[in-house]
Order: sequence, then structure tokens, then C-alpha cells
Amino acid sequence: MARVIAGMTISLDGFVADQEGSAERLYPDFATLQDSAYMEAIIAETGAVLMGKRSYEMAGDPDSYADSYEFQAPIFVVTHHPPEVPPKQNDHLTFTFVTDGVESAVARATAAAGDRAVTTVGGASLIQELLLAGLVDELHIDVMPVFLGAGLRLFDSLALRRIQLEKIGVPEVGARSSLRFRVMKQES
Amino acid sequence: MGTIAVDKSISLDGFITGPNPGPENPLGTGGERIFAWMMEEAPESESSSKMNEAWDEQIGDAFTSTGAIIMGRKSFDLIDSPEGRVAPGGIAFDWPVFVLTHRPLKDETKGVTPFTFVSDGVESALRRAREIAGNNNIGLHGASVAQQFLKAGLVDEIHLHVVPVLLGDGVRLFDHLGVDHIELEPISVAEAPGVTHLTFRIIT
Repeated sequence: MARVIAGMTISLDGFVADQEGSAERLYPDFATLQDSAYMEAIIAETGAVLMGKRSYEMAGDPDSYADSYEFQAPIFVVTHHPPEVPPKQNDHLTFTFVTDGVESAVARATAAAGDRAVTTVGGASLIQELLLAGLVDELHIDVMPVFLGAGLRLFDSLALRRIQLEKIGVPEVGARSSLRFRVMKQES
Repeated sequence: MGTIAVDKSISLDGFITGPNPGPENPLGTGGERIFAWMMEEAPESESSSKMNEAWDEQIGDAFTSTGAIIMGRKSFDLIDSPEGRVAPGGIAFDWPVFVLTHRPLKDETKGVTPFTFVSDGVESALRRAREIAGNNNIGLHGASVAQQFLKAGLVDEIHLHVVPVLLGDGVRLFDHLGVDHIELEPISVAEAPGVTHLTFRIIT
């Protein structure tokens, strides 16, 4: 079954976005990243993409996904308010707006991903929710050596303390250190 | 001149202690998990006092090259004992400690650790630590001192030992930094069982 990977880029002080909601300072390597072997590998292993509503809206024009999103794969957006008119789709990239919770979203994305992975690209609250629901197999935290000082934290819940992690590896990509962990199955 | 470094074991969610640290439990609830990688055995074990090879490799060098420590009053209160400064593993430290505080106590050597209290600011604490440390390095201990020195632009290097643990709450190492840009560059990434060592240099 498809692995569920949750990955985000964080600042050294733990933020995924600054006070204005921008993640721009976390991607000084944005241009070089697009053509990197690192990104190619992530794209190759991704069979479906899972994201929250705010992450979905960060693209600005939702029609731009079909034209230029790096992941040309089925996209599942967790939201309470699906758009009335679905955005542009193509042969590879389709949109499904899931309104009945994260378990359903993961189940549907997993089915779509086949033997490849479900890549969860954010945001922070979706990733925390997935972790706490025991729905994440791997956590990939890319640390970018900047301080944002304030903003939105990736890990911001006392409940997360029961999550058990096992280190997999730390690929380095330029200034980016990608800390990768396996999420241990929780004892209930 | 020696480097001024923040050198800390830290949880993946950014904490250097677990929730509710206090003199009875300086690491906070579950905080011993942050230091498990240094220990020969699991922290609960009787024989946990011996530091292991991974610790020696990462921290061992710091022993010979450290000349002084600067910490805040909160850190001092947490580590204060008649035996001076003693690591969770039982090692007593003889580096001179400068305690930056508005509530100074009488300077005193406890065990093998000389404590000096400085109440006139970070620059003064640094100047006095440098006089003692000479060409050796200065270690910054505790989140508050690390933050004050980072904001003052006085830190050369950050050495993080990131453990695959989420603590949920506790003392955050990087908090209250403000939004002024502090630029860093990575120096090295090293993997070891149960820990990832990330080293950064501060550029500005």
C-alpha cells in the first residue's frame, strides 16, 4: 500500500511561514530545486498529493496547477469549502476536494497513488492532524538555515509528544538538510 | 580568539527541556530523551552514567577547547548544587561559569566550578568570560542567554544535536528572536544513532 509521506520545509527556529504567511525565505533555493535530482526523486515516488485548503490557495490561480505544478498527479485537498467551479485539470493532474475528514482523504489518496507514495505538502495543521491520527508513515523535515523569528510553527501541540519517530537519514541538498523519519505505529 | 557557540541537544520540535523543568527535574518531563544519545544505556538504566563514544566524538573536543561558560540565572538555578556544575551523566565541570543575571549572588566556587555573577549586560559577561577563556571557546548555556547573544550578534556558531523526539512543550531554544535577519550557513551535517548533528556558522 502507498506510504504516506508528510514533508515541509521549516526554518531553524521551527516556522513554516513568516508573520505575513509567506514561505519565501524558506526557499532561497527554489529555482535550483526544481531541476534537482532531489526534487526529481520526490516527484518520481509521488503517486498522489495531499494538501490543506490554505496550501492549495497559496498557488494563487488554481488553474496554474494543471499548467505548471511540479507534481502532475491526482491532488486531494482537505477542506470544508470546495470551490464551486473546480480548477483546470489534465490527464495526470486531477482535483478531489475531500470534505469528510483526513481519514477519508488519506484513504482516497492512497487508493489513487497505487504503489507509489502519497506526498503531503502541508500545511502545518494538516500534518499535525495526520500525525495525531496515526496516518503518516514518514516525516520529512527540510531544515533551511534561516531564522524567521515569528510566524506559523510546524509543531505546535502538546499532543504530539506521543508520536514516536525513528531516524531514516539526512540527505543534504545545498543549504537544506532533509531530516527523514519513520513514524512508529502507535500503541493504543 | 575562540569561538562563541550555542551547543545544544534539541528535540525535533525545538525544545531543550521537556514540559515543566524545575530544580527537582531540570530536564522537564520526558527531557531525558533529549540526552539519551549521549548515554551508554537508556536513560532509565542504572548504568546510564557513562557517556558513550558518540558523545565523546561530538562533545569530547569541546572539553579541551572550552574556556568558559555563560549562562542565565534560570539555568544556574536549575544546575546549582553544592557539588557545582555536574552533568546528568555525573561528570563535574571545572570551566568558569559566568551567570548573567539581574539578581546576582556572591561569587563562589562550588565543587570544581567557579561561578561569577554578572549583572551589567551581555557585552560585560562576554568580556569577562574572554579574559578567563583566552583563546579557548565560550559556550552559551540556556535558551535565554543563547537568544540574548544571538540578538546581539555575538554568536559565531550553532551546534545542534537534533533527536527524533517530539516533546510538545518545554523551553524552546529559538524563541523571542524577533524578525531581524540573522543569516546562517551550514557547516556540516553528521548522522549518528539516535541523533543528527547540524552545525551552522552565523554570517551576520
